[in-house]
Amino acid sequence: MLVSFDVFDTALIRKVYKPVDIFDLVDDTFKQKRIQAENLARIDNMFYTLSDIYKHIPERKYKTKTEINLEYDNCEQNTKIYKKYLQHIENGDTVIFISDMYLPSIIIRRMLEKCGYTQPKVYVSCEMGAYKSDGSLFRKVQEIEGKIDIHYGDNYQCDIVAAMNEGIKPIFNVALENIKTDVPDVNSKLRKYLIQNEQSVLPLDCKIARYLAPMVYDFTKWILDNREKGQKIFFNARDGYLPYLLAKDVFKADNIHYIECSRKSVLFCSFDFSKPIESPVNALHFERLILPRTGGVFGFLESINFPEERIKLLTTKPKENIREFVIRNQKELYKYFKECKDNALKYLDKFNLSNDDMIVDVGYFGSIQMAIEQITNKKLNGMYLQTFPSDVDKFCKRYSYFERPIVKYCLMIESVMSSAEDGVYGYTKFGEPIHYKDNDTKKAFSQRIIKNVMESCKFIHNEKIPTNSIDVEKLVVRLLYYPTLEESKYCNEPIFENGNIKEFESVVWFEPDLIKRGELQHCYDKSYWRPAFMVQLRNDKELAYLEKFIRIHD
Amino acid sequence: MTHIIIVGKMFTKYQILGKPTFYDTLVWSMGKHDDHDIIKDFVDQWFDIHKYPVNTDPETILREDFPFEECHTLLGGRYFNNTMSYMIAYAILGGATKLSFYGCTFAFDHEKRKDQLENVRQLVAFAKGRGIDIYDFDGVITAEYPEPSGDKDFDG
Repeated sequence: MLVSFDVFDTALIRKVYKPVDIFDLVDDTFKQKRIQAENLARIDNMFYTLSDIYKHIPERKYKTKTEINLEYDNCEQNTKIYKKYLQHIENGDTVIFISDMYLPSIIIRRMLEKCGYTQPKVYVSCEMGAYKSDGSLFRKVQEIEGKIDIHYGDNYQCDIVAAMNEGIKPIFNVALENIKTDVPDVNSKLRKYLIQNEQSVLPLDCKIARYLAPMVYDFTKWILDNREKGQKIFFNARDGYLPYLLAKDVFKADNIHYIECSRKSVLFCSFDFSKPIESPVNALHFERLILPRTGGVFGFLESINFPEERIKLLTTKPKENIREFVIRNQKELYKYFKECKDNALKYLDKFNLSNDDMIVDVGYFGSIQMAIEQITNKKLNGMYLQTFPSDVDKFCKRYSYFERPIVKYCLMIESVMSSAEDGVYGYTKFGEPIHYKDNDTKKAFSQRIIKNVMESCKFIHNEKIPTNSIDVEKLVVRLLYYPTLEESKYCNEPIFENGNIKEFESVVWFEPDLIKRGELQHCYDKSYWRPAFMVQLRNDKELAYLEKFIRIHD
Repeated sequence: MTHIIIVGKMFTKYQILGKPTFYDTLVWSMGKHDDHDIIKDFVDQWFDIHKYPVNTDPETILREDFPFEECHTLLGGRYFNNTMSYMIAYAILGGATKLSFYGCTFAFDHEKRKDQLENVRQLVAFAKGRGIDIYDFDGVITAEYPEPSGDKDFDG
């Protein structure tokens, strides 16, 4: 059999999203000139060559060599088509390549050879004086080579319809730029990478991890770019884990550290013990201490890891709420908190924090930063993926990667950032972190996420795929606020601890069984990713009509 | 440390695509190629030392500018019969420490081509003797002679 392949977007693909995006790699002004020059060349000679095009570019700094080198450097094998090529070779078929192109066949041959096609025979329109679109190039090639049995191509008119009209069996290989996508309009190389990810057969959590990898990469880069000489950087567990790994392994940054401070481990260490617990100076920490999710006095004591043997020293009253309990047992609680503070200080002293060092976390209100500053008496610069305004801003310097408050569905983003380790809830008297055991399912999930984010970030780094906060914002907004049905099912298993290590939650909280038992509003209210909840609800044939019963209050 | 890449007219010349080049690497070629519009941008220095030059690009080194006498002195005589041999000598005079050849298959399109190949091989051997690294992509210039032929007078 004689088999032919189209070249660009079939046998070869470019590292940019659209063919003309390759001109952006020259400089900011070249693309427009280059496209215009090609239009003019086409008018002069319908079978124009690359040299014909460059006759219409007057600036001497633009050379054919630059474009040829760019095409060569940015071409890669289309693995799907290459497998077909190998099968045909194995079957003993003769394979040729046919292209409507202005590049000479000699250059195209080199590109094909680079991408693994052996001794390729190439017929190109600018040399043959014919095009595929009207069938003339197919006819000319068939005069030389004989009847073509199969032709692979991406252009519907030129490769498929025209081949069919010449009695050749066409096989359609849709080009990436023509595939419907939910990836927003970001820079070309990044868009191409993300669309390939979208089209891949990876599991959903891996796809989401790779989709958000540019965010993690650019956030880390932003931290390092804003670092001043001598500043140490402390990446805080567990959400600072991926940026830490990236800074260490990809950006090869030095003088960076990974610390383990959680709300559980430091928040109640930072009271002003000379003042009552309910006094204004302690208000910030007090309110966070008694957040309602702990559920009951004993739930509260469990959440602060109050030693069981000392509970008998505390007094309770019937129907007393946590606020009243804490105020009445201030003396014993303060004693315990002071011990915790001493232990936390022993831990933090090991890192030799200095004023103006950076502390990195995903977000949001700065309470951990403030607690660390109060424990260590140092002033730090907080570098966050997202900050929300809080009273902490009166005391602490904080900087946000996202300039606008877009990370509203925090747990969804944290699911990608978090490490696979157990969480810390305190420190021993020797200053060693004490961990609670997180669930194994969540850890396995986090390990997969980390692996995929790191692989993607290394790829982005090595291939020099541009990232910037504007593109990252587009990606994050699209995913968080307009997820696809497939994406909305991400993290719909209850494996996440969010304050209570005994109860696990999902991110989306779309639980059809609970909804059918009357808990529609409860599930919606509990959801940490409401757009995803709504997408799933609207696509559920039985439950979609219930949307009108939801009270939306965000 | 100067690396001179000499590019011939055969299609393997485009093997230079994708090869890393550094500040001390120069690409030289001769005459006019069939795809001159494409290749010209890849070449840093053109030579056309024939009596009737065909390469009209500016900055091409023409016959009147070429240091023939220095090349003859280098080799101790007029041991040249083609442009490429002179280019090798010119490179040696310029202090090249490495010479690479691409697109130099010396297909025998006319009678003189065989003699020209032998002359280029002599100059390459001369360059090697002076400690210059040689790389020949097509393997024609640096091809070794076959195994001893069984001639007992030669083999001993």
